[in-house]
Amino acid sequence: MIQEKVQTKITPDFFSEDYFEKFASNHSWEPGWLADLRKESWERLREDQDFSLKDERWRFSPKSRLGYSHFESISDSSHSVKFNQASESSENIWDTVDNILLDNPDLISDFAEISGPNLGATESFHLTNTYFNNGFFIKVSGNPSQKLQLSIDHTCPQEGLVSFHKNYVVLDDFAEVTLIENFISENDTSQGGLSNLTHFKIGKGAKLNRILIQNMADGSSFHNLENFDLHANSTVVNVECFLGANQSRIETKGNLLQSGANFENFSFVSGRKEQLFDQRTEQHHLAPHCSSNLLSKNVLQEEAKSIFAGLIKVDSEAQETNALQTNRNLLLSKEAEADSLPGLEILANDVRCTHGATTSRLDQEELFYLLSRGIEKKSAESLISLGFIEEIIGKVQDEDLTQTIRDLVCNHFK
Amino acid sequence: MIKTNPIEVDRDKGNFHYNTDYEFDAGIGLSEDVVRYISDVKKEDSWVKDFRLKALNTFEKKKLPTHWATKDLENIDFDIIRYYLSKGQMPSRTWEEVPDDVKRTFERLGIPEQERKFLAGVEAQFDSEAAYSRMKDDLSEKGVIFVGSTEGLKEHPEIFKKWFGKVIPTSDNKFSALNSAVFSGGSFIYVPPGVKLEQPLQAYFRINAENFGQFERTLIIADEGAEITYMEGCTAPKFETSTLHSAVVELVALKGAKIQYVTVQNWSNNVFNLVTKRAMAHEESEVRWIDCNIGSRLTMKYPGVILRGRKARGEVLSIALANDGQHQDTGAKMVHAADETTSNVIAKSVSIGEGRSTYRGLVQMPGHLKHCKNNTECDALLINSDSQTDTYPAITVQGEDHSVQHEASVSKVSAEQIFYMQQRGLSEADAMSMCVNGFVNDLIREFPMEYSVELKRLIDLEMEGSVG
Repeated sequence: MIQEKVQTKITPDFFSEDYFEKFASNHSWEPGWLADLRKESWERLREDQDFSLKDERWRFSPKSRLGYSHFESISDSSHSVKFNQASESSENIWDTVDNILLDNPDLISDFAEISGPNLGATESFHLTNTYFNNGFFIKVSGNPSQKLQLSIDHTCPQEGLVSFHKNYVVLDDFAEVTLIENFISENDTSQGGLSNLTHFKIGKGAKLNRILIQNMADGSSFHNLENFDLHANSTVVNVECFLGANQSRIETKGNLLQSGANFENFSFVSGRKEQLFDQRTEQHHLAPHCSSNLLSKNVLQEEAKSIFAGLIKVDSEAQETNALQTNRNLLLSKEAEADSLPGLEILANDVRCTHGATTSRLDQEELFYLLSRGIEKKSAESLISLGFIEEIIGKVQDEDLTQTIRDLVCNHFK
Repeated sequence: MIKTNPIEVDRDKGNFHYNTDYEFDAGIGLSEDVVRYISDVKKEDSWVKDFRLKALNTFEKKKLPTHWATKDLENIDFDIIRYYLSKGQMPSRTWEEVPDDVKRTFERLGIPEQERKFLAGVEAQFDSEAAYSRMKDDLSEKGVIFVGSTEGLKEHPEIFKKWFGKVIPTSDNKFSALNSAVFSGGSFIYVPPGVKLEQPLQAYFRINAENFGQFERTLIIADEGAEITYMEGCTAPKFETSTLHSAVVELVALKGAKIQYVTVQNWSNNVFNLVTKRAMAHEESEVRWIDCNIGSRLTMKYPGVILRGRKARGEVLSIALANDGQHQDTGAKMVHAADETTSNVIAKSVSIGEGRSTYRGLVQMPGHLKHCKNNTECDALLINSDSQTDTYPAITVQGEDHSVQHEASVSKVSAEQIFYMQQRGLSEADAMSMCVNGFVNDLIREFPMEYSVELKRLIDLEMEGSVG
């Protein structure tokens, strides 16, 4: 017991000054503003270390599982971000952050100071800002005749290693883009950690369709922080599918900065074994006439645990807001656990805001119907669960992709 | 828009103050001596004194819960509060014995004497001790015990000691610890097996001395198959500096018992009202908290039910009205600890002017239980553009055999409704008032008659000046 306790207290090397200095000297080729950002983030990381245990933003969360103590060092793989496919275009820019920093660092410097979702995972946020050595940068110009589709793979490193990715997605006014991100492990032994921080800047009238599929290997850790800044009349449809990794902390924040913005966030979790999915979201309305919608559906088997903490925040200026938030949990076993913390903070009066959270088991009549027709229990459960999350899968427009996701979910029931 | 302060109306009602000579005064501030003094004045047994001293220790160690609650709590200065005052040591028994000036106070509170004839037993708390306490003969014939906290612990320890401080342990939170150290007043009630009280028991509370905290302690035990409805109502006069009210209410419903606890609260808006209320529901019992919060500067109150017996049922119905400078931080806790337990929470809040209302909820269902059900609905109505509302439920469900649903909505009174009523000759203010009354109407119906009439009147008063 005592030994175990000591072990969890070991902080990995990369918290030390030596490690940071070494890292900084290896990155001396980077522009000065970036060196400053890394240094500042590293100092903040050290300052924020003694956080209070009673942080509401970590309520219900087994925080020790989501720390970095089980990583020995940072992965230096430069291939952990890969562009799979992209339709041709000359006006648009996309590349890995490394390449952009080499060729055209000024592009990124404009967005250096952007804040994160800030929903509790300060450690991940500062670590990523300090040590990111990969990521992507996308800037799409507002030519409406061109609809860009990009697909990107993020690869999780080997056991004991952690990768930090920092990404920028910039949509100029009236740009339209579909972005597909896959988080994968090369093989079953890729049980490291992947911490991903993404800033989305959505210009006026722009449209972003984003699909995230996380299917990393058992035993790995996933941290995903994302912040969407939506300007006037822009639309974001974000679909997230969480299937893999041993523990995940997901923070998604949509800031509706200007009138007419529309933020839609759909996600599902299919959890089994001892998987933990800690999902925190915020829909922050800062301007009038905006709408936001969130739907989070979780199916949990065996000893899986999910936490959904969502907040709708409406500032006093944001009149005529329409904001919805729904969390539905389906528990398939005795040991599965679902925690819901749906929240509202409303400071404007002319609004329509609702949230709902339900947790229950499989409809016994539906199950009986399938069983009486000779379908095995496991398949019946799989069918009903698939039907349950089809509402989310259906938001993905691409036919091939929806089938891929369905197959991934079905694999969880074998 | 005429911006008169609607609080003024409220203040006038209770804005009177009689000079009363306090026979026992523990002085200002809190220390071990004060706690010993209170205990000595009450001639308590040594176990009660030890209980108080231990609680004081816990109170000093506990931090304010400001990591989730409002920072306004930091404005409470525990050193300038009087922790104990008493008109006399023993509660008066007959109406004749009640001093004239106290009677006048009740007169102003609007408790007509003849009404009391219909009430089973009226225990009206004047400052710390019950100034008036009477039980109808038939109540005592049935074996019902209805006494103050001091009397209860001294004369019936065999009944009350078993449950005292068990539903809400001293260390539950900082304010339950404070109450455990300095409690005085309140009601201790025991209803014997099978006794069903047809009429509700009632107590009126009142804070009179400036800077005087009221720390009443209530413990209600309904034995097997017993039924009881208990009502408390509060009004307080206006004072310049903040007053602290921190009660602890414990309910125990034994097998098959039914307890209904009704609160109508109308504190003046300098009162901190930090109350811990919890019930323990045994097999097949039913506990209902019916709660109406109007007034006060800050109310933090989350009535809870621990459902520890099979088929127990818990219910919280709550109405909160937050006006300028007021924060109603209310909610409910449902802890399911046995099979087939059910709970229901319906909370409605109205924020007027710069008022802020908050709902905080907790629902827990562990995996080893079967067939537990919870339903939670919270609706918030915002009247003015500066009004604020928050909702923070926390739901934990384990296992495949439960069902939980939570729903919340925030809305304003629709312009169409107001327009419709104005078309029919109502003023805008009347139309708004009618809409608000309609919003809370289905909950108000759950209150006893005299309360629902009073409540509607109070809501009208609060609404005055907010529109038009």
